[in-house]
Amino acid sequence: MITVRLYGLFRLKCKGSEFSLEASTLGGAIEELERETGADGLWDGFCFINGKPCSGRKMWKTPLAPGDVVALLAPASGG
Amino acid sequence: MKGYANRFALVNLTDSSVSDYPITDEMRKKYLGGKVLAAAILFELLPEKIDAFDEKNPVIIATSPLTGSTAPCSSRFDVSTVSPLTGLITSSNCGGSFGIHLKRAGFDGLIIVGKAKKPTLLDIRDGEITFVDAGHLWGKTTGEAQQAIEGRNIGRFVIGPAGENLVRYAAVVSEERAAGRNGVGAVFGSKLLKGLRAEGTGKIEFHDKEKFMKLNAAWIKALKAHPLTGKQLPTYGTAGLVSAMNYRNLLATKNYQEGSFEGFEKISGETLSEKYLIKNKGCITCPIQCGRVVEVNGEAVKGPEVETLALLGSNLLNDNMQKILDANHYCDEYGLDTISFGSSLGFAMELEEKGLWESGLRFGDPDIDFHSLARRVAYREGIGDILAEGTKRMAQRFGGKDYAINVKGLELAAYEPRGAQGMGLGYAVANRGGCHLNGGYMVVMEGLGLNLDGTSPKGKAQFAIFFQDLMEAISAGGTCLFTSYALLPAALIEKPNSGLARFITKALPSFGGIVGLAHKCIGVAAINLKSIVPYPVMINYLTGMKQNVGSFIRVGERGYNLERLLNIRFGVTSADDTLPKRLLSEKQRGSGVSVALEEMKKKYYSVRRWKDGVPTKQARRILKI
Repeated sequence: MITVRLYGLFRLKCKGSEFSLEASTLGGAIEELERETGADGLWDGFCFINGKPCSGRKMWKTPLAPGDVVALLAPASGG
Repeated sequence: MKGYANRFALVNLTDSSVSDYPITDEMRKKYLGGKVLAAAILFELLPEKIDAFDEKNPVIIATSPLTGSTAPCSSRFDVSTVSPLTGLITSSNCGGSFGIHLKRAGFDGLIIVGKAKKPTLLDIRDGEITFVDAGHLWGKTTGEAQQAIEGRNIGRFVIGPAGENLVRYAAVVSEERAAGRNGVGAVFGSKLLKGLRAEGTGKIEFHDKEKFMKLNAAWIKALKAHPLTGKQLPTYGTAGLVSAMNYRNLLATKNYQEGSFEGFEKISGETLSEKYLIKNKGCITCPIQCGRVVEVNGEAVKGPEVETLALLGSNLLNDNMQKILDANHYCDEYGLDTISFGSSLGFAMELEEKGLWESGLRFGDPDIDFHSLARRVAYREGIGDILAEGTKRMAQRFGGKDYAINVKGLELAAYEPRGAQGMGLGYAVANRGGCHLNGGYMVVMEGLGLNLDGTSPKGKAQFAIFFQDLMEAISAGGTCLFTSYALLPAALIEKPNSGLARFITKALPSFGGIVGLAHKCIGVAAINLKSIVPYPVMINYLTGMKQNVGSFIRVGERGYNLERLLNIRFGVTSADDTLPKRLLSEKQRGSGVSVALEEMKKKYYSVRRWKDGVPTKQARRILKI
């Protein structure tokens, strides 16, 4: 199991702040989260795995291990 | 000129006299209003350095053309003077309704000089200014004083005990909004000026009201549709930044030793909204409504901004949200700037840790009593008398200069600059000291809006200049700086992982040279893009001026350079454009970098046409100053 923590407007979209999921990649985690919550647009978030930023074209293929914590921050977090 | 009240008063508290101060239409075109017009006036009035508490130090309260025009977020007005924290020129912007009422009362602004013989309230009604004995208000908190000033549909602008007792970071408050930074409240206190009351029936005349209202409606619509001003800020307020800042190592933590805080979730905007928020609230005429209303002691009061959450939270290793809400409220009531208050506490805690000052203040103390501390600072009791001086003077007394987190004496805002190099440059060169807004608020480009690499200095100098000048111009025009977020392309903000957004954010720093060149040539940009940059067109419809994007940004640049020239008159040199040594030489644990200031500063001076930090003759000629 991995943990996904949501921040900003994603919490409202997913109606929750933390989810436990089975996923082996970052992309898999987003897919599973969208399926579970019915939310969309989560692919637009800023991603951090165990506190480290994850970006770039191949970001969605980043492998996840059990116990990993994914932070998913809604875009437009400025103000 | 239409859009203005066309009257500026010179008020002398020493002899209770009032006279008109001449402001020509040419000056209005050149400086618009607010802090830029105030800088031009101070440039005339202050030929040499004076102390902030010298009774000759003028306090200029200035509205702007758009103030009270019904334009979005246009309740803003400015207070400019010599700061008791920095000893330099400062300006402090406020969102309360006082500016609107001042204009209705027949004045675009006031220049207040001298010192009253006893506590005084300036009562401004339909073109008349009277000096009222404020003995009954002296000693009252900002809330109590405003309640005691009678009248309906009036503007109030008052200090609390902190201003009366010359706390160097005392604020002036209108409703729940503060001209908070750099101790303008203490200058009020030094003049025995408790505050002002404004009431009037004047109406703003429009050059072309129909076009103004049409563009106004489109602008409000655009602000409501933008992801930052229409969704993020209304939902979470500025507090919504805490989580993003924490993940990006931008959250001031443990007196800026770190950029992230283990307990950030408990003091985040999400937690504030989910557990403490009663409702949103905004300034009058604001469609964004970023203000928070929360409960303190059973009373609905203003909630904290991101700066307060960080400086009284992570910076002190405090994860108790209710304590921050309480602290924020009491700082407002006593009339204290929460940023300088929090930073002074953080510095005291580090001095305690290092055995340099036994204040009894400790990081992460779960029993910290912010109410008692705010009161002791406001009344200068015990350790409060030392904390009331701010970090620069505390370091002069106890040592620890390398980690006294201020620039030119003003404490830095909540953004840890090692994770946002452009913000670090902005803090270092800002005219009023370590101010995020006067610094250009580059952190919005570096992770909190767009996604530029915050750890790289590349291209940052040019972008910082552009945003500094733009924000100065917006401030001079009279709207809230948050309206500028809507200038950032929504597509880039909403889809940061798209190929286009990735390409642009990666390539953007390489365009620094082009931005720098564009800055130098901006004066010839005689175009208007009203759907993208509505400010100059709105000002034109209101006043009949012929501003365009180029001339508008030049107003901001002119103001920035005028303030710089004034500061040079007050003794500032390029050596003052620096950061605390901690941020320059200690690599941040999270990002692994320190601020590459010298590299950015060199480019910054060059693009600004400054030599060793001094505006050249060429710069002055181009800007007509």
